[in-house]
Amino acid sequence: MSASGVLSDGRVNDLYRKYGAVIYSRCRRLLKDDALAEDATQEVFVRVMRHIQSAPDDQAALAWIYRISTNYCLNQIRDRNRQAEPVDELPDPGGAHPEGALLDRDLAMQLVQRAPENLRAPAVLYYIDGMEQEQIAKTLGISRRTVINRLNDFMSRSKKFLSRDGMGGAA
Amino acid sequence: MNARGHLSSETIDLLMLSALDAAAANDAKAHLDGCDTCRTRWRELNEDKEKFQQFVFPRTLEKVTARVMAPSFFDRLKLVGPWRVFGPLAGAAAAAAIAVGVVNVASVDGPGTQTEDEVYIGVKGAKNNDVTLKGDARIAMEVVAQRQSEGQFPVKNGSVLRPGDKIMFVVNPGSAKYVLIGSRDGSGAFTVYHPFGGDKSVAIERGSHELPGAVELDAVAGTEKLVAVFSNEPVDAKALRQAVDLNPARPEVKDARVISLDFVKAVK
Repeated sequence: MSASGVLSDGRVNDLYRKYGAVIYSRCRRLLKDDALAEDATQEVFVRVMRHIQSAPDDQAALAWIYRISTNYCLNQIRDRNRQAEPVDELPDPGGAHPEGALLDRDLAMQLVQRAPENLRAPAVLYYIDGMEQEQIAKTLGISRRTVINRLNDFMSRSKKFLSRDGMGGAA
Repeated sequence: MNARGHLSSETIDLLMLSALDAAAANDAKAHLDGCDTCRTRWRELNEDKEKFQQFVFPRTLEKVTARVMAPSFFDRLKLVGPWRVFGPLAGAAAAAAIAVGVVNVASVDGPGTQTEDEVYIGVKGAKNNDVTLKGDARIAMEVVAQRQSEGQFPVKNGSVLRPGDKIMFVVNPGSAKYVLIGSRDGSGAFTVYHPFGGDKSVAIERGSHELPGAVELDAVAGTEKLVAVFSNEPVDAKALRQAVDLNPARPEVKDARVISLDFVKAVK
């Protein structure tokens, strides 16, 4: 939709004030860097604007925010990792079973960075955001079966990573 | 609460936005009282909100507003030439505009970047059968009207338009490869709007974008149905017309996703 013909400065101000904090918090959580999160917040808001201005309610607006911010931040992380040294050593989850270990969002995020790209968004929405499979399917526009398969794949790879580092339980 | 015994980010965000109903808000607050993990997330969110409002918002508002209010893709096309699509000139104009559109869409977000739908991880490069068109939540059609005296406004089901209004289409084909948009007006006449006057679907770029051109409404009064068909193979315009005739309330085309919108054309 042509935003310029429908929007006013005041409307942008209101929507940015309302949803900007949610976007900023989410970007901070995923990027773990205040400056990058501030840049990402602006970028995500501009991209999500045309969707949230016509969203019927806050829940629908949040779905767009999750989808677009997740994709944007994961791409930022991917680009950052291409330029940087190999990702950090995984922290010791204290002998917890991998499913339990993934309740630690920091550990989950590190495992997300080691996963193939197609597994990352479902893993973030499940392990970082605590969404259910059905909700992830709707947010990402894929089938629930695909979500389940990708989460299973992610878990199986995570177990390997954790056991290779001498941590985690048996598969 | 999710299956793992915690509040989801969505619930916590909705609570902060005061968008939960009273019962759900009370449940969420009760959970926060007894769950360290969720209470920490709630506290973090509120700290981030504070930080955003105090520092980030005032620092970035002007830039964000400028970017959001910048001329849209459609507006930029208007600067290039008369993209109004009227009658028989439509086919050539649409074809030319598509070519321009591809270039412009690619440059909107700058080199090396992608639209939010292109970067949708898990779909890009996925096999065709990974996402069915029927269940592809990204597929969408929005209609924007332009009225000389009132500027642009979104058209929803039941919107009242007038002869002379121009309508434009913003579509997201999701994983579909072709689009066909038609209309049945109050007199029952069927017209293909995109590609204007065409006889079958045309290929479409991925991501949400405005289709080139605009259609000026004529003086036939009554309810007009707009129908967009998204498919992986070209769809014949006759098949769409038959589908609309057969089931005007919910037209269906085999192996395709159909989206429709009804507006009322009022003639003074």
